[in-house]
Amino acid sequence: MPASNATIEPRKFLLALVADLAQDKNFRACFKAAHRELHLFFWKLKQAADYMPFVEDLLFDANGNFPHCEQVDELLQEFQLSGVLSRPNPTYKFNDICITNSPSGDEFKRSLSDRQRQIYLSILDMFKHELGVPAPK
Amino acid sequence: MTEPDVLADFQDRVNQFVAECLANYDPLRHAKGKSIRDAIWGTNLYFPWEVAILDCPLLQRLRDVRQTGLAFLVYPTALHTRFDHTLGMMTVASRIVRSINEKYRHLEDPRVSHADHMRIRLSALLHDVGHSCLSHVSETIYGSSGDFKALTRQINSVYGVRPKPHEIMSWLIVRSDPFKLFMDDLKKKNILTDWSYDRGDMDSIAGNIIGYRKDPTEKFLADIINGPMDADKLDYLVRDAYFAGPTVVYDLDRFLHTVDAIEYPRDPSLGDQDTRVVRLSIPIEGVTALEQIIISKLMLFSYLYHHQKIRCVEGMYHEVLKRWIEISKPSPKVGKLPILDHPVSFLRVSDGSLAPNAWPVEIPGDKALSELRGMLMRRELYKRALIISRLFVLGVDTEPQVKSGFDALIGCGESTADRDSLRQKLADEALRLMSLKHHKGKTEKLRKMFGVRHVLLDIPKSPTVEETEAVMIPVSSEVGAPDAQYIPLIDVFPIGKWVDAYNAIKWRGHVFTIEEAVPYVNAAALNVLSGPPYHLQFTSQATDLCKIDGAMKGAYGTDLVWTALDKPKA
Repeated sequence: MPASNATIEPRKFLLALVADLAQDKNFRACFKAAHRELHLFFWKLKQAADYMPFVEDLLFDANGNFPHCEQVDELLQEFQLSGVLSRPNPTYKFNDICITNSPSGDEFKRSLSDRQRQIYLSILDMFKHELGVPAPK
Repeated sequence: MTEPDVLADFQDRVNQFVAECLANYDPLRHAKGKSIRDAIWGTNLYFPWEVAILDCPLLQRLRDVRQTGLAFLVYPTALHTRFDHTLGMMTVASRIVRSINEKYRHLEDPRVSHADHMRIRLSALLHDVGHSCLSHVSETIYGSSGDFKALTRQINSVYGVRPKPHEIMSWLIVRSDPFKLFMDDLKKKNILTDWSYDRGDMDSIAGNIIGYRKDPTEKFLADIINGPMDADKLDYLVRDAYFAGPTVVYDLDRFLHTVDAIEYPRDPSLGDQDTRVVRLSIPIEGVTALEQIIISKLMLFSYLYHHQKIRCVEGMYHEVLKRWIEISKPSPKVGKLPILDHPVSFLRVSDGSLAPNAWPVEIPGDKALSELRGMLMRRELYKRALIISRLFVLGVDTEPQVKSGFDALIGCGESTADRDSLRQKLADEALRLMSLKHHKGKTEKLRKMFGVRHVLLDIPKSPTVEETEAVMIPVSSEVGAPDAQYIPLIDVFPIGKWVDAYNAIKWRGHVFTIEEAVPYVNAAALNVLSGPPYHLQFTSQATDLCKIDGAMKGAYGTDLVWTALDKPKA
């Protein structure tokens, strides 16, 4: 069990978020590709001490017009490259999630302490509600 | 070491390096204005103080740091250096400043003051001074050390920027006391007379290099040096293409005609009192010129930065540097070789000292380095044993398990530990295949020398297109007015689609190995990657395009269906 202040790999964290969102039947298997909102989501996490272990390694450029984290962009591109995400033409408004589960995402969640798992679930909830798209009723 | 100690430790080491470089240098002997001809931008004038800085050993070492690292082993004329690029970038930075001022010629004072213009030139002059041997090749190694990551985090927490490792090195050099003393000396000796220099300028120049400005309304000045459409990129795109050979062009004239210092609202989430920021941007009529620049960059990834042979030799040099670091500690055994015991020690190494003919023929206690030396001297580069591409993986677009597996493989590019663990598995499996009954005899010599160091796993990062991600462009006529409308550039130019297409079609990762081991490493890779957690089945193209020639196949008496090797024949 990792110590509660252990740093978490951003890639595994983001992958788990994406895979868990895809498994929630109340949401469509996608999230908004709105660039600013996406970066602001992780920026807000970075501002709260509780969430810090999840985003400690994400370094933001806060010197421009909005906080921007190059690592988030790089990770999303990697997910697109590996087929975890796809960004369909022509609207380019959503990142479609193309996996229903992720062994490394599951492994990531198993590696969390109970307290961290609770925090992770609250982040997942925020992620769904801020960037997710509700499934049609 | 705590994080504040890390910065102090780095700064001390850099201070010492700068002091050594500047010892016995007399700027008065060099302070003469010069016109210098450049293959890209033609003849340009340099002030006496600029020449005095250019001629100092800190800058002269850049003549021995190739701009495109090891690309010359594939494109023989790609021998241009960081020094040439520095001069070119100064020229382009000046042109951007002049273009902005031209747009505001109706104002009494220029939009960019003369002093700021000179500071921009000095920032351009010093922006790459922290580069080490083979440019980005060494940066990847020292930048991944724990101390360097701690330093990056610290800079990020103080300045809110995330600079690249060489930019941090340049920043440390510019803000070092010996360099500030050197600049003071230029002023004292009446060499620095073109602007009202004071010591505080060095901090803003160091800030420009890492993309930081204290005052957000001056952010566009840092953007000229380090930003989404900086002078750095405008020079290196043309320069790298020109010297390597591929034709890449963009419309600089149109870009300069439209580029501007544009004010827009700052996001309230940043939580400070500055509600406006002024950044280097372009109005909508200039978007096409910017598109050309970004597409040129993507083209260069194809031609140059992701070229398989260049990636391969870079991987070999990473091994050289890693071994070099190992033997530099705890008791340096490197003899005449430079000691690489700390990221700052890389500043003492340039390409010449890394050239294999500069090493001793035998490096005591290090077989791997001696072997690599011999191979590099003969340009005996590792060969492709497997091509990793979405195009060559069965079911990657349809099977969730395959997507997850392919993602785990791509993730090895991020994590050194995961990559090294997979390399070890590939090497072990290759050795197992070499030891099989009908191969044992002919691989005796190979088995004795083969090890994990002979297997390289290259997972390049996909191209970044930050140009479109952080840039806002004005779409109303009243730029800067309270009700002015701005949209992200990505909305009118969705470059992400281009990158997606590049990733799907052009992106390639590779497994490389020594020529004799190619068939075995190919088979090992197919075996290991077909198992958990990857579950990947590759098409025959992943092997066929490696150009494993007939002689190689013949030598081992195999048709390369190596996955069947360990199965008894019916």
